[in-house]
Amino acid sequence: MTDSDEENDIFEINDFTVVTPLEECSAAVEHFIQKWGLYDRRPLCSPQNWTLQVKESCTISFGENKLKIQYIQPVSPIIETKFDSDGNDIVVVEEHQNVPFALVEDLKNIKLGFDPNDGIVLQFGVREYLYVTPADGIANQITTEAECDTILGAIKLALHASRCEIPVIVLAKDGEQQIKHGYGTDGISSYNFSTVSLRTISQQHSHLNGLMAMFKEHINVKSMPDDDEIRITTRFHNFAEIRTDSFFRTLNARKLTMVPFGSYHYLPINVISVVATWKDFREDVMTENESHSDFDINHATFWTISLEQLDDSDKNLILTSALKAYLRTNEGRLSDKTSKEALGTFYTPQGTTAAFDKLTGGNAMTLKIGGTPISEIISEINGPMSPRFVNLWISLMFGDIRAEDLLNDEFKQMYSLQNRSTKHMNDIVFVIFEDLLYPDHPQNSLNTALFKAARQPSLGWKLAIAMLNIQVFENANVRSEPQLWLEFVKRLREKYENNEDIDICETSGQIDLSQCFFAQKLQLLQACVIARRKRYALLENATDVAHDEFFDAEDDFNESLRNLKLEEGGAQGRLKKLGNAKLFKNPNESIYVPITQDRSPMTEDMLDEQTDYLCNLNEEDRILAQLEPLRSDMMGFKAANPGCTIEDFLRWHSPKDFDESTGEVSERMRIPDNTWLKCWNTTKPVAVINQARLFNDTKLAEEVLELFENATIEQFRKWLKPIVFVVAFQRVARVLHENSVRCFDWIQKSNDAMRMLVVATNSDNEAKYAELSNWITKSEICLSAALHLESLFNSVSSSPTMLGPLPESQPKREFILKLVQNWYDKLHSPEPVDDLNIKPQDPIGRAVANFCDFENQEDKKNRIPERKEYILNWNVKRPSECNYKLPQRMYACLENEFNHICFSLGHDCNFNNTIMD
Amino acid sequence: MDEGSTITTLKILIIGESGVGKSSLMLRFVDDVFDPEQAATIGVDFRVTSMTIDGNRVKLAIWDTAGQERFRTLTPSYYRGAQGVICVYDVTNRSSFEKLAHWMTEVDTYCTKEDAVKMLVANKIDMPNREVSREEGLKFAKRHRTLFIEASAKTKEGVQCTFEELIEKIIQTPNLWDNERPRFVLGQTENNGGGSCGC
Repeated sequence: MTDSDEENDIFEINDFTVVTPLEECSAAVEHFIQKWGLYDRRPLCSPQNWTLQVKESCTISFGENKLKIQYIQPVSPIIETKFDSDGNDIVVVEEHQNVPFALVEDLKNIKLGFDPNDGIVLQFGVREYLYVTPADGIANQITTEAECDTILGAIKLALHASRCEIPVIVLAKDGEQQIKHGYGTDGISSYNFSTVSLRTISQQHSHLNGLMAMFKEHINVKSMPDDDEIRITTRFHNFAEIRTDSFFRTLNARKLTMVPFGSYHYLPINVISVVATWKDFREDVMTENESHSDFDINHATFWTISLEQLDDSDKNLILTSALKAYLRTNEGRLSDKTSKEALGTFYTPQGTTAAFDKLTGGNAMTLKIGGTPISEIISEINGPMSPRFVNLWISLMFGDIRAEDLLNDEFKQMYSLQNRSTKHMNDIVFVIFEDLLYPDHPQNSLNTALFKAARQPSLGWKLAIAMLNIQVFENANVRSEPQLWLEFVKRLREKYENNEDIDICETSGQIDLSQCFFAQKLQLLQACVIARRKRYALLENATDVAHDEFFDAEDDFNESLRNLKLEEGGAQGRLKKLGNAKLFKNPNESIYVPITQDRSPMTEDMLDEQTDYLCNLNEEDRILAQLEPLRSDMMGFKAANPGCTIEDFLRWHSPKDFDESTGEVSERMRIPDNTWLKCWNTTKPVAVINQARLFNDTKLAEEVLELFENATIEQFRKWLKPIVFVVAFQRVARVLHENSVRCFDWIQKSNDAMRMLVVATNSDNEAKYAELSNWITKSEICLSAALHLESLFNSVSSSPTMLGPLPESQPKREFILKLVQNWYDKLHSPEPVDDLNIKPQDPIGRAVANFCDFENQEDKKNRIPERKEYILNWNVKRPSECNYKLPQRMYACLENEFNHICFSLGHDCNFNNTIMD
Repeated sequence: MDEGSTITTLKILIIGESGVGKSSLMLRFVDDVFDPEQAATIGVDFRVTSMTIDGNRVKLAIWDTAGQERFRTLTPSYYRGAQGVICVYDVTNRSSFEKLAHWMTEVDTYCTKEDAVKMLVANKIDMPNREVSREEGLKFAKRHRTLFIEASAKTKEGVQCTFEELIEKIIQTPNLWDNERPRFVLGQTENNGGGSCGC
């Protein structure tokens, strides 16, 4: 202690106004060492479980240069978290004991091996250190080793002065020509750290034997018989390419009814990285020299396997590509155009006469329930895809069973023209995914009712699938999407005009407001079809005249009235008797329930409009605005029950307002001038067929069809968006559940995705759609990769070179999933991933070796690892045999033009330790 | 919370058999009036009002529907977006109570909001000729997981309470009304779930 006291005394009488940059730097370093409490003995972190953390950081100046100093410390994982009496978190970690010169302990611990990912730990074998780097990066770079040594000199002073045992590493140059120098001391022994970076390394040093010689040379001590052996760990990086050819999706009709999924053109992975590690062996166990190598990859201690993505394989994902247009609905240069505009010269407007002919010609007698004959379709649209093909596709959507075979013929023709065999089955992934999803699949484990979309397998649902297919359809271009849309709308019109059901799966005509806008509009169209059929049926029953003269009841009021079949006593439009009730004024006459009109069904937009309208009226007007249905009922009732009174009407319409026992009308109906009475008194008997329509199906249907026909691409994409995402989600969820590599974790995540979808479809939340799309992409790429790997494993089982037990399905699945998960995480998350290690001689290892061709003897000789790494450790007395043994370490990384060799060499500087034994 | 600004607008639907006093209940609450000769509602009637619950000012759009069968073809549309449904029966009219099951089915079928709050109101308790006991009402409400209250639009009893309880319950279910900020609500749960997964 007297030493340091003296030093302090001397320091105090110094003139600090003239300190050199070196002294200033040294003082600054010392200041921070004191401030951070880094002097004296250090705790030794457990060698098993630890992660590195930058605990402190500061910037100091050295002359004109600014230097950043970081204090890096290994920390143990948190064992548990407790709460103290104030409710604050207390983190409990493993306790560490302070040890003298922790650096030596770290170096001795060869188990560190290649585990650490951090460069310094790997290069120098130290875990706790101060890292000095230029503060402003390139601009302030320390360019020469001399500069580096000067800085290190200043820091050495500080280390000694503050008795800091933590080593310091100074980075002089980064990148290819890395220079790192360092120093650490406990006052008794000291360590120097240095690096050598070489573009080319001489042949004689490019292998283990040469490196060993270099190591010994550097240590420069005479070998003694009682020396420990050098212990070595090596790791060789091999990249195995997996053979894949580019492939085409070979389509057929059935595939058009499925959401496209998987990868196309190329498989998502084509390189497997196999890092073979030989762990902790003695120097004489393995030989590697210029002509011979004992390092046979199949006999390494273990392999670390990972997948590599050679290019941006996201773009080869079919579903992800197809969804792009729906994630950003204005994507593409034509998106703000209507379909007709977008089609350009492919669209030739035709007169609407043909349509009107059908309109007026259609009636109940000529209703065609079957499909529209395909040959009769008059096409206004002649491209870009073959009109016949598009029409067949649409027939398939509308449930025409003949379309499937015809469509398959089209495909055959298409492929034969392209000189492509339909047997072109390199599309492994696509084949794997076949047979997973059919539109007629009745079971659906997912509660799709929560989504605001269209129900499976409704027409809207099928259209969404078709629209996804068209996005990635090989023979399609930017105009194919509007073509398909417009042909679809045209078919809707034909169906409507022929009085056919719009959607064979949803014929009720009910509008389900929990579904999306587009689904509601299709339901409204169906409601219009039903209403018109009813109207025709009514007319046919009521009249004897030819049907087509009675298209519109209003216009033909007088004529139809003349021709009406009258019931007894001039009654019209009776539906049925109202129980046994008799007329109030004529007890001999039964009361009849009249045929009534249906109210106009409304989609959500109409409803909002209606509500707004009603809300803005005063109470009286509001009642008047809603009076028509009541008036219609009254008219119908009067027509069906000649001689009736309001009492009779109330018995049917509002039984609560007529007391059957007393025969009295309720008080509220007796209020003079109440709306009901007024309405009753001013209503004439008119049967429903002669009434004005409450539900103007012709007008509403025309509105829907025109809305669809004149929609821009962006608009119809927006309408379809919820359904598109639902069908995409369903497809992914299905593959997750049903494929052979299904994984519980991934299925769990699909529940999160489902919740996203519920929010997205119900509130049109862009952010949720984006999140969902990310999940779909991830699932698509991971599943494609996993299934591809699985097929590789399966191919091994039939390989003649694969001997012995095959991998069992459970460990195989776990291995594949972990491999894929790691690959994805590495690409998308900054967090380091856990290594996936396997033994080369285990069934999985041998299978990997088989499809990577590692067992090929020819190949083996020629196989040169991409990168070779060596760690050499030697416990030796240095500088002379009189000193204590100190661990010496060398790390070498040889890779083409980047060769680094790092030394951590210690020597004992206390000659009091000279003990002869 | 600022007294002047409302945090949300709630849609409240009143349903039930014809003549049980739906309109009277609404008018008593909104305008504090009672007309013994209240005309039968045609179609649907609306009232907009606002009230303060726990310091939160909310705007209420109350939809009063006609009870007659023939007016109910548009039923699904009335339910659209409703956060609260008040189902009324008349304690002096047993059949209006017996039809409740039908009304509850309708609520469950047509409500577009999954956790819309249901309330059962037994009206006309001021009348002497009671046919439905309080216990029966309670039992039914319990089975169908609804709020329950006995009230009289005529004497005012329970009316204010009906709406207050209902609104309070809705406010306590942010999913129902806070749909302008779904990201905020869901973001919270995501953070709680631990952000380490890359999915």
